[in-house]
Order: sequence, then structure tokens, then C-alpha cells
Amino acid sequence: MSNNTTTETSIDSDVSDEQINGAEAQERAEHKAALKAEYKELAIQGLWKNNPGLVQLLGLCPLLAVTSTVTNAIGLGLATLLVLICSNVTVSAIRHWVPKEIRIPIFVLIIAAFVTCVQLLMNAYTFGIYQSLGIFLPLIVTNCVIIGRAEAYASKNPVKQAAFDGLMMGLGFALVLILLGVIREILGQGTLFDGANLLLGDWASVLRIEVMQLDSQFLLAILPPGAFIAMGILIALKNAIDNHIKDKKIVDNEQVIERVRVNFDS
Amino acid sequence: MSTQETPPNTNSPEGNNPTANNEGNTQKTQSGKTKSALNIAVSKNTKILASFAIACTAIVGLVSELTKDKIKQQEQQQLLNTLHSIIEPSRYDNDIANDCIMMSSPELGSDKVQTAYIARKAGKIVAIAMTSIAPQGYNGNIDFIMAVNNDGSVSGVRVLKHQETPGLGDKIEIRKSDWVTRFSGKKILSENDSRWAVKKDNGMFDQFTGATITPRAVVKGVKSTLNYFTKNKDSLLTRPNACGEVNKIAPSKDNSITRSNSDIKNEVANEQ
Repeated sequence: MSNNTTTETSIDSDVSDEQINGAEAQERAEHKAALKAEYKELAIQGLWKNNPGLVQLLGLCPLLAVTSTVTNAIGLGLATLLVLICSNVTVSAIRHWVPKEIRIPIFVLIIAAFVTCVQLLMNAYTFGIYQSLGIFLPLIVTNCVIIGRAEAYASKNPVKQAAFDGLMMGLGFALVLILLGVIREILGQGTLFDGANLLLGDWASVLRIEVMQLDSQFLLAILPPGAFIAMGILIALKNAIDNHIKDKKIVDNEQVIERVRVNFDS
Repeated sequence: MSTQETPPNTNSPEGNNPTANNEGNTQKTQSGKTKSALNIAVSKNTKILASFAIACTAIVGLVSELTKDKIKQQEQQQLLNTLHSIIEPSRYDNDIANDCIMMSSPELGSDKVQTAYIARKAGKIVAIAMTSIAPQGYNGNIDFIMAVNNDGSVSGVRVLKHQETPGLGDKIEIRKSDWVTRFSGKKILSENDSRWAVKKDNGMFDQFTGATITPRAVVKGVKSTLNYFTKNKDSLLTRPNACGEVNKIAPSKDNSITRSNSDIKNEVANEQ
């Protein structure tokens, strides 16, 4: 990425020669295309290929513990997303000033500071959800997704890409949280968005949906083992889809190869 | 840190270990030079780390300062909501959240200091809301708050914190079930009132399907707290207000009230 920044600065300098201008325009277009590809790759990595919840299996402790309702899942997902973006941006912005020997303590410092800020803000403005998330809010500090992205991506890339990476990784994580929340809440309580007013204010109590009437709660779905089982099924589903796509690709490739052979023989 | 930069030192003729070099001051050999380079690197890193620590602390401090009042307000509101749910707001007219006493007794479930909020109407005590603990929950302590009327009957009970099994024991929460409202209006006749137990133990309170231990613990906790209140009623109600910060705020409030009262009196006098 550092190459890109140098070309950018050379583009900015005044050059009158048209030929060079043409070459630069092409270069700029290439640069743009490369950036676009980079963003696309980041999105795919964060949301699917390298999903922090389903593939990297990072941050499982909050993932399994607070997903008993959709509201909790959204609350923790948003908090993690916010911390992830902020920490990625900061780590990326300061990457030239941080010596590599002390980068880890500095990253931890930054993450801890952001988590504390988010915690204080949630305590002040979404008190109900702050209480139901309990210990898992401060535990975001120890969520490996965050320091993992800071170390693996943000510390080597420009601010914009790092922010986008944070957004995508955070979204990927939040989506898994919400999906688990939906499954567990429907199976366990037969509702959706129960207690959404704690997170979004009083108007949100209309969001509550009674999906099905349960005489007694399905305990397994509410308790942690249910979270593990649902998580396992989600991972299996993802792998099944990936395998399906892979098989399809192989079939396509084989067809192409056959055609080549025919051409060669003739 | 030091281990990463030691290699040059190990080649030096003295063969001193780096920590020794760090302490020695008067070496003029090659190792002395590397030592100073290492010192520079260390002090530079130290400065960077320190400045980051200061910056992060400053940010957290700032946010904490900005949200402090709001958090306090939220907590107060939460407390008021709970108190309102167990003592009808129309029954008292004092600033109940800031009118409290501290108490401690094994009958309140632990040796922790518990708070009690006093509801007064026109200066007369109407009810008292006591925080307490039921120690024999299925999964640890159950924190609750209960309000007792002046005549010794229960005004209301709410569970504040618990770790009972979701779906079974958590029906003691008002969000999940109205079980906890059954305490309202109940009185205790003697210290060992046998009606204060779950139905399984021939008492007057329902247990839950699949969970007897939790309601049993709550009933026992409420009973014991109620006993504590009946025994110590007189000494409890005469204790001075213990809400520390309030003592600072309250006088100014009183002043403003008396001032406004006197102003009104003056106006009335002038009119006459």
C-alpha cells in the first residue's frame, strides 16, 4: 500500500507533459481499480470468507453468552463494531510513529480506552441494555477480533482501508451475533426483539413480535449449550455452502479443460 | 526489549551481560556505545508508550467527565422506578432516593451494609424500602428490595439481581412473571410464622414448576428481612439520614425553600 501513496504524491506534483499526463491518468485508473478490488476483497473477507464469528471463531465468549435475545445481540454487535472501527482507524493513523517493539501494549491501551468510552456512553444513554450486557461489555477489550485486526491489517494499511476493514469485520461479527440471537430467541421464547425498548428507547417496544406462543420456554435454546449447538449448525451450514460453490467451480473448470484438449487434438 | 538488542554486546571483548552494561556507567568500549544506543531506544519507546498512556487516560477521563451526570441521573432514575413499583408514588412526598439509612445484620443475608430508603408523607414515615439478600438461591445470592409499610405489612418486593436458571428460576423477575407481587399486603404474625413458606412446605406461596429452591430462597429472605424490620423498627426509623452527598445538597435546597417561603410571606404582608 505504501507504493500507492507514493504514486499519489507524484500525481499531485505539477507536470505539463501530456504524455506523462496520459500515463498518469492510466495509473490513476489502475490505482482506483486496485482500491476498488481491495475494498471488495475486504468486504468478502469480513462478511464471509474470514468471518470473525464463523471462520476465525474469535470472541466466542460474548458471542455465546449474550445471544439469548436479538436485542442483546444487536447491542453487543454495535458496541463491538464501534470499538473495532475506532481502534482500526487510530491504530492505522499512528502506525508510522509506533515502534514495532511496543506496538502491542499501545494497541491494547487504545482498545481499552475505546471500550471504556463505549461502556460509559452506553451506561449513560442505553442504561437498560448496559445492564443486560453486564460483564460482556468490558470484556470486549479481550475480544481477539479487535487486536487481531489491529495487528494484522490496520497497523500496515492506510486509515480509509483500515476503517472499512473494521466496518466489515464488525458487521460480520454482528451479523453472526444477530443470527444466533434470532434462532435462540424464537426457539427459546417464541418472540423477536423482546426488550428492544431497552436499546432503542420506548418507541421500540412495538417492534416486539410474538412469533409463536410457547407454553413453557425451550430451555436448551436459552442456556449456553443451545448457543454452542446453534453456532455449530451455523458453521456447518457455511461450510456446506462453501463446498457447494467449490464443487460447482471444479465442474466448470473441467469443462473448460476438456474444450482445450479437443482443440489441441484437432 | 533488551534481549532483542543484545547481539552486539555479546561480541564485545568484556563479554559482560547486557544488564551489567546497563548498570555500569564508565565503559568507553564498543559495548558502551551500543549501551547508549540501547538506552536511547529504550527511553524513546518509554516516552512514546507514556505519551500514549497519558493520551488514552485523558480521553477516558474526558468521556467519563462528560457522561458522569447522565449516568448518575440514569442510576437515580432506575432506583426511583424500582421504588415507585413497590411504594405507590402518591403515598409519599419526600425525595425518597436521598432519604436513606444504612444497616447491617446477618438477617439481611450477608454481612454487607444494606441501604434502606424511607418514604415520608408530610414528615411522617409511611414505609421503608430495604435492600437485602436471599443467600440460598439455586445459583448464589439473590439481591432484592422490599418495602414494608409502617404497620408491618409488605408493600412490595422486587428482585434486583440474581443468577437463577433462565426459564425456570428467573420467574422471580417481574418481567417474566407476577409471582413476586404475591408478597404485597402480607403480614408476619410471629417470628416463625409457618405460612411464610412455599406451598410444598405447607406455606402460602406458590413454587414454580421445576424450580422450588429459588422461590423458597426468596420467601425465606423476605421473611428474615421482615423479621429484622419488626425487631429493630424503632431503632431503624430514628437513624439519621446516611445518604452522604445529599447532606451537602439538601441544606441548599432547604434554604431555597425557606427563602421562597419567606418571600411569599413578605409579599403577603406587603399586600396587606
